[in-house]
Amino acid sequence: MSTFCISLPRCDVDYSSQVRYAMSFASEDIVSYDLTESGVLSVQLSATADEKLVREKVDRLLERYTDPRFGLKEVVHFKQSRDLPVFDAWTELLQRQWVALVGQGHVVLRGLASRLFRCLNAKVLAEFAAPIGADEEFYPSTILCATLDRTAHFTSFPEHVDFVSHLREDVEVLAKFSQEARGHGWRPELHKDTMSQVDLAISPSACYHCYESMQGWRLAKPGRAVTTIVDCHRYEAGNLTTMSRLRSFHMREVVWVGHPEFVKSSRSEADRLLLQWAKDWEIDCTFENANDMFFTDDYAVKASFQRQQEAKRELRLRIPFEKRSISCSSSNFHAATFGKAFDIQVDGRNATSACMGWGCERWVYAIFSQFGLDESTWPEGLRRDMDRWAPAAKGTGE
Amino acid sequence: MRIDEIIATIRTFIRERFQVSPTDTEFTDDVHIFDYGYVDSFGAAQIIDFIRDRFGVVISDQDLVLYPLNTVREIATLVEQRVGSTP
Repeated sequence: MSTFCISLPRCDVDYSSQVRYAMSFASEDIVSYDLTESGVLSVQLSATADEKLVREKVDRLLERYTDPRFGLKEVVHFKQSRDLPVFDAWTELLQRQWVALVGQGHVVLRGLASRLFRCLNAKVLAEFAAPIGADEEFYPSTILCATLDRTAHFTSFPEHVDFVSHLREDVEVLAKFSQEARGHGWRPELHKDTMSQVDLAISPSACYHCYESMQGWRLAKPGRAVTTIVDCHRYEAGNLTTMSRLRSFHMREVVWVGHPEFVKSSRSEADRLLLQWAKDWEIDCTFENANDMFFTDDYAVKASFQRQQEAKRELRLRIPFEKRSISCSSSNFHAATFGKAFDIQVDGRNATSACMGWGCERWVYAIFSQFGLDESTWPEGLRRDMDRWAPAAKGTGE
Repeated sequence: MRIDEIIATIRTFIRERFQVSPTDTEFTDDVHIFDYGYVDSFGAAQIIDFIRDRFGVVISDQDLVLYPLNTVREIATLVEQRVGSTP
């Protein structure tokens, strides 16, 4: 087993977090890696790894994030700080059995965690969706790869797509699989040469079905609003930790499709409501300009443009125990990307779209991390909303 | 070169390259070309290349942060300043 080290040209938080995330996808020959606060990246390789080859891959990856032609505009729109205790919510939630780990990046929520999830959803429906007459829609959890292709998802985030397949339609393949499973139990090798071609993936985002299902629509001005919740999947390799980053998670979204002025003003109003929410619950957070973790060689141009246009803003909640913040909600403006992709028009022109998303499990985890597991000690605004949207049932033993 | 000539040149480039309908009445010199979906991130790079080739003006990343360059008029104003012409 060998190790090599690289001294990175920068060590700011933005750059370091991008590198940390991307390194998980650099090479299967990387056993582990560590990035120090002073910007030294040490990479440990498997015994059979070709160090030169891996080094080239890592260098190529790092080059994406250091393109000198582009910069990342930083704007913090809102910041609210609290003096919070350092509390390992993840361990406590597992011990209390309000969270159960059922596979890497897969969690079950129950008890107070379940109620908090329910509260979040009800609050979004009541305060964001209902006042603007948003239609509530329900989507499948899987999506055609052809649809993801049209959204340009594969050219931005190929690394995190969880593809779906099934056993080949062949009686011998099916019988052999079944016999092997009966005799020796299931194991990954049973899928070698037995799977059909891939045409589906698990939805990586909640709103793609919205645009897909509006293919060819001619909307009346100003447009429409939709809300939905989808069980989304993102493969995260070694980045899966606690509930900060899951492979399977629920995404509640409010989506606007229509004329640019309608979409922009709706997004602005949702931003305002989100900040009011953060104030009411006294959350330690920032609301800031952000970019997606584009995992392609054109990262720099995409990320820089996204930041320049303030196309993405994130509400980041601090997790004191992990000494970092996580993005729990994002406000996204897509311009006419999806209007063009799915021929949706309003007033004779390609419709624009925007969405606001709530990563439900992340919200739950962040609230427990900041305020602990004793609901009676939570901030008044949060307790009031819990009583209103997710009151405790008698005899639940929470 | 006069500002109105620069505006016309950039406007024509965007209309042709990004296939803006001639009947689109919202495509004015002051419309936000990104928010309204006329141009995306890769289109922005094409505009920067066009400005460099046509006017010899380099728009840097720093410019993108410092100046509002979201409308035909805003882009043309920066070009006019850089080429040193007077109206």
